[in-house]
Amino acid sequence: MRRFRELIKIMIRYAAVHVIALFLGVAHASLAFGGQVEYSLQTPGASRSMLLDIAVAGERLVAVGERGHILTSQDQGQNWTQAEVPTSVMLTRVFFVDDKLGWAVGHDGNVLHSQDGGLIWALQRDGLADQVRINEDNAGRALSTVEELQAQLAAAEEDAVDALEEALEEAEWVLENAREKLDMPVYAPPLMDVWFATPEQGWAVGAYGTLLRTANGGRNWADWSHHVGNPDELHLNGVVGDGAGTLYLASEWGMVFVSTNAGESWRVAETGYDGSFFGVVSNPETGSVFAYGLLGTIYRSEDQGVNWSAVDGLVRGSLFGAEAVAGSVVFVGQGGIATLTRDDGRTFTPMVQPDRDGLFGVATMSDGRFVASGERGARLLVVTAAGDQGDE
Amino acid sequence: MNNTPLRYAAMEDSGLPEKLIFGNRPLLLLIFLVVTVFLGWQAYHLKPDASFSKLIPQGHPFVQKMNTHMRDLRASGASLKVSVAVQEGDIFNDEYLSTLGQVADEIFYIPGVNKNGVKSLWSPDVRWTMVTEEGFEAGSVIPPEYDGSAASMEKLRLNLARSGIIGSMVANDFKSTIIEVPVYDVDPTTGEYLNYLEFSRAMEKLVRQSYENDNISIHIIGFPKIVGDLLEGIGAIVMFAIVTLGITAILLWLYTRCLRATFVPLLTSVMAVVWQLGLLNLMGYGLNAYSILVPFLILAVGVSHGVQVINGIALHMQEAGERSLAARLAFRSLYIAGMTALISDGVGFFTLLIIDIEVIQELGIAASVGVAAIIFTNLVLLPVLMSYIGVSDKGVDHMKLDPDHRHRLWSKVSHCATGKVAAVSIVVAIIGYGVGIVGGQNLAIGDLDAGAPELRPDSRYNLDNAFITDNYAVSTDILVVMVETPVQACTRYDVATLIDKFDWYMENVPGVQSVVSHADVMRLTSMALNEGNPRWHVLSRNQRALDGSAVRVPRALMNLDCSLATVAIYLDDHKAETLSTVVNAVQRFEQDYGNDQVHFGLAAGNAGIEAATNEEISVAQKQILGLVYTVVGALVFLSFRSVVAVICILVPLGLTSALCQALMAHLGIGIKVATLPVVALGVGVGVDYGIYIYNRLTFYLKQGLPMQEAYYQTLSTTGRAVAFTGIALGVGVITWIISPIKFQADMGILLTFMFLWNMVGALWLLPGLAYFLVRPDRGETPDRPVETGKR
Repeated sequence: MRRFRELIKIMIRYAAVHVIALFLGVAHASLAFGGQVEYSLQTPGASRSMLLDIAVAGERLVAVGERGHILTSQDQGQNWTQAEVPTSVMLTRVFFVDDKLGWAVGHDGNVLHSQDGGLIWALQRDGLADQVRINEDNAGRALSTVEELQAQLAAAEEDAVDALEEALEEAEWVLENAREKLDMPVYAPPLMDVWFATPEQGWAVGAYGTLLRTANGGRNWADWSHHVGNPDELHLNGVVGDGAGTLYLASEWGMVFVSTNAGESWRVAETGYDGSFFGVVSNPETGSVFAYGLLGTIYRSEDQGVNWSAVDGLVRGSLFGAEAVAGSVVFVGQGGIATLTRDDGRTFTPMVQPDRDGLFGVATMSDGRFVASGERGARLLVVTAAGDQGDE
Repeated sequence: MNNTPLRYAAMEDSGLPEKLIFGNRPLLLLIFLVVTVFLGWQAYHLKPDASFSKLIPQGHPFVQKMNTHMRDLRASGASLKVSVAVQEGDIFNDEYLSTLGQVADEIFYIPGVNKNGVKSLWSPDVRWTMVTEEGFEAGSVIPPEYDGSAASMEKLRLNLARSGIIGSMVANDFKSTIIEVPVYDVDPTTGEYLNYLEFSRAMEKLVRQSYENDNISIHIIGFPKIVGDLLEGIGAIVMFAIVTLGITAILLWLYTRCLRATFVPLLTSVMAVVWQLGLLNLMGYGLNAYSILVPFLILAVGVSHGVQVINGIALHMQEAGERSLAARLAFRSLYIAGMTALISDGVGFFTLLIIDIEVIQELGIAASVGVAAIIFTNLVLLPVLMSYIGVSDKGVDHMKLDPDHRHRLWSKVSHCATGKVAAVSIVVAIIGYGVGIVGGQNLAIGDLDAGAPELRPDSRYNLDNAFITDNYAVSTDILVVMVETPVQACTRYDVATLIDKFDWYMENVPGVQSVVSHADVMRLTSMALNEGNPRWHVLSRNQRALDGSAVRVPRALMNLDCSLATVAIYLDDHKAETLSTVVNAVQRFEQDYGNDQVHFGLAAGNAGIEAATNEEISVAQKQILGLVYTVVGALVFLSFRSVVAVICILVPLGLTSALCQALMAHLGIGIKVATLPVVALGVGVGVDYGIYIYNRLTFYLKQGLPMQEAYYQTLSTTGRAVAFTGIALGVGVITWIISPIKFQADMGILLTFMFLWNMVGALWLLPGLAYFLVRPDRGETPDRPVETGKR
């Protein structure tokens, strides 16, 4: 009897899901990519889980993290509410362009969007679905390159044949790779950072050289990767702009990609460092820009990314997040370290959170205090941008 | 009292058993001597035994699931944690580190230790890793160039910070470190069970005693040590045996006032114990922490039956006037009732066999064997010996009935068989049942105390356990879930993701501290391979990358052909409520998110086994109660052929059982492996009283005595022996209360209560019930069991 009731329950649930799916239509489309959208699990422990980034939307704190967790707090981080989020994979960064409009990016190339200051989130870019299109485009582009070269070769003069043959071979190899990708389970590189200049103009960066651009508030994201001279497909770990058309992308091998024309063209700046940068932050007061990363490394440029020099943040753990406000810049990272400069990187005040949990993202609250998210949830830092530091 | 029929019967009516026994007394004595010497020799070779598998309910689905994966689970088998702590300063000095090295070396050579698995700070495979611009840097935490200098210490400090072992191998306060010592339960080369006692003693002698001083303290925890300490506690029990013997002897003397009648029953009872121990060895059993208690029971049961015999002989001496005939008469009047009582005991104990936990089964077997031995030693040998030795005149004088002088106490107690008192008794009994049932509602299942509940909270082991749980971020209560997947699929993206989801789901269950699975390791590895960037702390959808992150997964978390992943769930405690919450959560997850490829199987780990044990026990407890009453009821019915007898004898027992449950709830003693047998033992032994009393009472009623007078006569003959028996049995178990082993103490409290209260029930409630149910005036008096069936 009980079994029977269970069975009925399951049948009703099954039917309901399919009826809803039919009405929505979209659900079936996404089934093609390994399953319907999986919502993040609602759990009491979410506020203590790994939170990769934190942002402020008006008076509200918004933190994002692993397993698709998005949490909001109305009381400076005392209490957290978990949002319903249409993904269960990691979200790496969150950015609010104003009190209402925000974006969160993460693994599987997903972009989530909120229009109400972080309470309700919609999947704006289904990274896996988009990746299928990108892969098809790439294969199509590779095919037309091959065909073009074949045509050229057929009509070529004798002395151009060798070069063309070589180019063709290369193009065929690219095509083969592109086609291979179409046959494999789709993989979308994770997005590592997001930044919006205006509510319409935004950028997202990710692994393997991924650069995405939107001009309509994220409704469409164009693959902009080919515009960056990044033949080794180095990870792009951070993006920031100065709002006046200059953009910086933090990458590996000590490289920062710079555009001074709102992303139309890019040049590579070699800072002199040979490790990885995990992020880049610009100080609006001075126009300086800081790239930060492995083992406490910080490089500063005071001339729109032309010349770079190392500054000593007095910490040795890797830095994963930074925030500039009111002329101060704070960096946070591994082992609960944080370091603050109030003079554009000339001197630093380092500190360590007593619990030594890693800190991965940092934001400023309206009262000027810093709040960081990390290994085990979010916490307030014992330092403020303007005032004196706390107990350390 | 009319003695003529008895005297007459003595001449004419001796049954076959009596003829056989008393006709061949010298031969009989010889046989007993030979058997005793042989079994004594066997008993001498009895070994203590406490193997892990015997404590586990082998038929429970959790355990069967565990057994099917035993080969793969070996990696998470029995182990010890030895914490070497320093009092002054911290671990960063050469003195401490060299002591630690010596202790680790010492442990390495102790037999039973899995040498390959011993891990301390000094182990080369205890490493730190760091991401640099060039890739990974790694090394053993104690630097290879270690020389005890301050520079080396600084290096060690730095390496520890990078190693991630603070909280697991190094205490949070840097004042102690742990040596991990995996132990073979079964020796892989010889296939022999580990001798836990020797192992534990070696740890005490070679490690604790050798290295502990004012500045260094050693803390040892882990299952093998619990067993070792238990076995050590078994030794302490021998002391109690001597005390118990002494008290019992005094009681006997007070009762008989005759040295012969004191020592002969004591001797035959000890003989029963020797037989029981010898037979156990002969049957291939050892002595575990549970069955060690059986000799006490056997001694007490033996003495109480011995007293019945002595009592009978003393009474018959008055009429027979000659020791041989008196012994024969006592034998004749007692052997049916005695056999019935002892067989009920034995059968009561035998019901323990339905519990699918070997230690309890062995307890049942040991107790049944012991009871069988008592039938021979105390019902057969004792009368024969007494027929030679006899009871002294002083003893006979003390025990004899004085028809002219009514016993004050017994005539008061005999009012229990009058209408008014009987009515009140029954009302009180109903209230008692109510109290028992209501109080018993709060009865908890499982172990309620932290640490090793088998041992006392202030025992060295539990202090060590508290030390380690206080100073390290480790829980000693672990439930392991076995995730079965298709072959080579345990690291497949969809499977690993589901397991990862399971981890997180479980981490949010109340009572769960943390969860570790291969998905955790893979996420960490992915992060490490990506320069420690937490934004890569994920399972990659790129299967090649995912497989790459799986190479660092330890064998304990996934098997060789990648068809099994184990998820270790660390719990706050092992309270039954915690365990059932966690078990339910696992089952709910399986139901909500499981699929036909991935199965989340319960359960291994000490908490998994405990959860299985709890489930087994909560079922078995009801079965045992039902079965023991059914069996004892059936036996009583068979011997008396009367439903009234069954009611009169069982209702007082039931009251005791009900009150015992309320007492357990009140004292915070849960139903566990140790307390489960108490019901069977209590009822099995307690039924004796009722059988003896009821047998006598109906005998006198049949002679035409009115109820109260019949009961008075019963009391002055058998009743006083029953009172003595209750006290003797209580004495037999009361010494357990000071046992170093907590569960023995718990059993001592409960059994003392049951034995004494059963006696009270038999003397007070039984006649009340009999008053209403057995009406001599209506001519419905049941027959004596000897003449069953005849009206």
